[in-house]
Amino acid sequence: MSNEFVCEQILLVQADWDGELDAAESAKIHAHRQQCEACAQAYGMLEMTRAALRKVPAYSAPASLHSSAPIASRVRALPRSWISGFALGIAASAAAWIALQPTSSGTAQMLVDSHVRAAQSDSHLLDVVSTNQHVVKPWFDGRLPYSPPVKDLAERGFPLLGARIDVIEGQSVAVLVYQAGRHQVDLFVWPTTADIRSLGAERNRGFNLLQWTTEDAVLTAVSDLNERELHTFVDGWRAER
Amino acid sequence: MFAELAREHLDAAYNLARWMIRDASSAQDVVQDAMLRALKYFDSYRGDNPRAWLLQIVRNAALDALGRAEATVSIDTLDPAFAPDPALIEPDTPEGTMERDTEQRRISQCVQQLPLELRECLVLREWEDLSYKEIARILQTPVGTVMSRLWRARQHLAEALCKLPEYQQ
Repeated sequence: MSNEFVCEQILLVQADWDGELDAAESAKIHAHRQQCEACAQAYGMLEMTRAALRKVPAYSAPASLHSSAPIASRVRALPRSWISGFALGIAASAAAWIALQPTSSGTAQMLVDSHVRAAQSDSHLLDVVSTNQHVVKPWFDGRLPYSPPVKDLAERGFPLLGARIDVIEGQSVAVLVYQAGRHQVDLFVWPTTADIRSLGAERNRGFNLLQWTTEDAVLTAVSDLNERELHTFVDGWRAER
Repeated sequence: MFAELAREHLDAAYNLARWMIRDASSAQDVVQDAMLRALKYFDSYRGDNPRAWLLQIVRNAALDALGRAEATVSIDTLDPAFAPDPALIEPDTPEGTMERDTEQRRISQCVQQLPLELRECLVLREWEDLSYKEIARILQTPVGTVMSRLWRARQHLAEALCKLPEYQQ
């Protein structure tokens, strides 16, 4: 399987595959790959390694780390009953720890809950499975009183997986689901007439949320993707026609 | 203020330490050590990439724990004579399950067997989604070096994967 002959462009091929090249450089390398057997094979090898690594999730910090100093140190005083939880059990204190987070808006909490429920399911709770925006958008007709904008971001590295309808604060909302590397982004789309509390950029229990408003919609992207990449997703959406 | 930063990036910190140290309990010690160091430097931190900053500190703490000045070792192959001590790889897969022969565990072991200087690059790219520039900054090495290490890491990994039952024709 190991390829002895390696073209001198291979590091650029790899850089392109890692998303490091600008559009012009990427186009040049893409053209080269069509003509270079070694690079085409190498590309296949890279894909194979990433597919394998995708099967191995990141390690999560154990509960005992969450409650250890200086990670657990807080400025405000702890309620007495919580302190006994600390002494009793690490797991108990970790749970209480989450409950003592500065309260984000209830809306952010509900959006994250929705995202987490979906992420824990194999199907991501999709009601419609399609990578085609022209299938997903009309699917909402008759199911929602509005027609959400659905964009294709596959060229930007965020393929559409499908969509579902969720209920947040008593209102039905379209949720578009995109793949972002190892993570998914749930994009909640409300009409501008919806009565939805406004959020800026927020974090809630390790998840990032970004909300913005256009002339047709209020959109909120929720993901455990890191903030920088979630911004890339949102910028990509806004730039896409 | 610091505690929030620490919490936000705690999983990333532990993940890096765990892949570098290959032992769960030592990895926890490394993260705690790193957090104490970061707390000390936090007030003077003026950068715009706290996660990368923290991971740099974690990496240095991990190297200290391994008793090394840097990650480079002279052996750069998957020579079985240099396979890691099985006693070091106890069965705490990322899921914490006790299943010994899952595909995930086998792939994980292929990564564990990579030389450290290649493994740390791969972890920062594949699990932490850091850019070449961010990785170069953390490793204090030129971007070109990062590129060639990533390439060698992936080549070695592909060779090891091909020997797994899942990849046999």
